[in-house]
Amino acid sequence: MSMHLSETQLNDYLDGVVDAADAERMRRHIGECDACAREVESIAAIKASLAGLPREIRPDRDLRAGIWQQIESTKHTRTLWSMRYPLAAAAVLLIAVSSVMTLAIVRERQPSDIGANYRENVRLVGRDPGAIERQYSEEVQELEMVLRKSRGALAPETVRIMETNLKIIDDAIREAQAAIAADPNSDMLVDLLRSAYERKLELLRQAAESSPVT
Amino acid sequence: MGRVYAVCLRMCADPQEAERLTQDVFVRVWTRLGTFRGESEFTSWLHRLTVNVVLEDSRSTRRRIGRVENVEDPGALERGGSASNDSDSRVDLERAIATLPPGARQALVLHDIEGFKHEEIAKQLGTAVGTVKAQLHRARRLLRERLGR
Repeated sequence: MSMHLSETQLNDYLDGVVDAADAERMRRHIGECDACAREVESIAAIKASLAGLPREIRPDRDLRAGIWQQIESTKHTRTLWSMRYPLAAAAVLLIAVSSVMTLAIVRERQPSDIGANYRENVRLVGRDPGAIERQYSEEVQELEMVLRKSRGALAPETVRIMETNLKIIDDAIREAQAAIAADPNSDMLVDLLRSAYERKLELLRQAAESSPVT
Repeated sequence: MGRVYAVCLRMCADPQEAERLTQDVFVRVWTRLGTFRGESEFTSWLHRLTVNVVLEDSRSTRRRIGRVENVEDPGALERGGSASNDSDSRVDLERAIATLPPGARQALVLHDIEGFKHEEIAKQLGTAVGTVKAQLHRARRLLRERLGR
């Protein structure tokens, strides 16, 4: 009489984390052993019930007021709060912009036309806004020059999307710069400014890489 | 909001704690939005951040063991999805999950409900894959026993 499969074996089998040979061996055994077959069925049923639970549960009360209260009480956001809507919009747009822009550029990309092999995503270091801006200026000048030369080779729609989204990022940069001027000790604002610069550099780099070789 | 709250509630088994953790998650989103690099969908990023917040909280504070009788508002476990003929069994299942020991409950929620792999859970929990599997298998066994299945 063959031995029964262990709890670990039965669970691993159902989770699909055994190799093909073991899985086949277990499958044959389960087909011949009523006890193991019942165990498998029981474990499978509980897994199915768990997988069928709703992904969302509504809180008993609206938590949004409490969330904003916590954010407002954060030390470095007192000044930010007075500009919360523009900066919040800028932060959200940074995410949306990169997604739209990346999609547009991927559509343009022809493997044989990949331009100069630019560096990996630039990461701007340090916490001094002035130093970050200097790093950014050095990088962006080079990329903007490449794009000026190759703009005519890109589809008009891609150019339009690029210019629109770069303007959004530039607006976010100006907002962050103004907020830092009012609250120079805010690490969060410095992070937001850095993120905006890095996002612009990333988009320019992607566009430059998609440009035909000159 | 409901998605984040669901993860928090099932992992901590306490509606008030889940509300606090949900708020913490969104405050963390606000402060860390600049770190979202766009490599994944925003929802995936939010999901991982939620799990991290809950696990950090459970590591840093003394947690009550979730027991059915300590759930002050059992109705909190019922406000998910839409009413159906299976709502009673779903409530029973949610309540049973809340009675699990914390380690087993975390492994079960992360694997069988949230869909993380063993290796991902081990990394999040700072433990070995074998430990995660042992907790997961134990959780399933306890649920089956408590639900009479």
